[in-house]
Amino acid sequence: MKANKVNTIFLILAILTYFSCNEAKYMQGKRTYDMVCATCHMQNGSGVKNLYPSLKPINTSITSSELACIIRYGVNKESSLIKMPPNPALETVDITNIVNYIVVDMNRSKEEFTLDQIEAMLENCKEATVEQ
Amino acid sequence: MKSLILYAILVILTYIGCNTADPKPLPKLGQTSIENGDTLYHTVGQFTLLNQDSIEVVNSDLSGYIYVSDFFFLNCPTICPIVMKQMLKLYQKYEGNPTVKFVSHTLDPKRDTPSALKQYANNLDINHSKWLFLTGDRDHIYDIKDDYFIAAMEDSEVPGGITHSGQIILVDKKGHVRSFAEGTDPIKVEHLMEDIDQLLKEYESK
Repeated sequence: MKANKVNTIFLILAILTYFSCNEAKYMQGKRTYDMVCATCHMQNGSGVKNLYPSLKPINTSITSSELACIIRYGVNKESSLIKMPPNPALETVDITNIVNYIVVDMNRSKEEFTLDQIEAMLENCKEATVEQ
Repeated sequence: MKSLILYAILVILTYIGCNTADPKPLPKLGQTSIENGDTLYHTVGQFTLLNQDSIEVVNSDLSGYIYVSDFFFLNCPTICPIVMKQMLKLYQKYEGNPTVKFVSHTLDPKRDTPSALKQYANNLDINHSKWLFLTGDRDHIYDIKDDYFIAAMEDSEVPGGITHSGQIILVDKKGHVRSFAEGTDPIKVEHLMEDIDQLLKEYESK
């Protein structure tokens, strides 16, 4: 009987751990992603074929700093048929949360970014944008 | 006496059970009119548009096919990508069925030229003879959309500049609208899939 109780407790613990593992770590990032990004990249990050790129899995050639810059400034290449609009309303903290949600929650990366790191990345792409 | 009632119930249930195997045909949507004693059902009006290969497409090019239709535009930042994903899901299901075609109309013909639509379709990785992307005269397209019960208007206040409804429409071999679904709602699109299957069966049994 006693052993049964212990078993039950372990089972509940296992179930709880399972659910807590599955929940997004970056809930705030998920909320903003669902509002701002999901219309094109889809809520599950699958995108649509070659039109709206998949973020889950994300193209491995895209660095996290490029990701941060793209979220803020969009993509406006002559060659791209559909241009991604910029998101001037997003604060650096929002972008940090979205980047972490995409790399950690969606792509299971071990690397996560602090606000300061993203801030520095955004400083760099600002210059790059001005140069163009 | 009691057993008689039981038998009666059994007969009724069996009757109802039989009927579900043969569902009512899908309705022909829209206004009907009566001419010389014949009922005329709403049909998609005459159109002349260009496909992604700049080839003219008219109604008769689609007669004999059932087709799944929507209205969208390339620079649409709101509902279009979601609807397109659902269209793609339908396309993938009926890709191998020669009776089914797909027809997407642009609401932004100024920017969405045949070559832009071609590039878009190439990116979707689809068969160009099975899925037509149509463009043409702006006023003509905005007239046609009414026949598909689509609401759309230009509005500089909204993102992308055009506000429109995202329904996916099912049209039969004679140009009657038979069903539709809200293209942003995957569950309603599943129901539309059932309607497509039913319409296909309707033609098979004839």
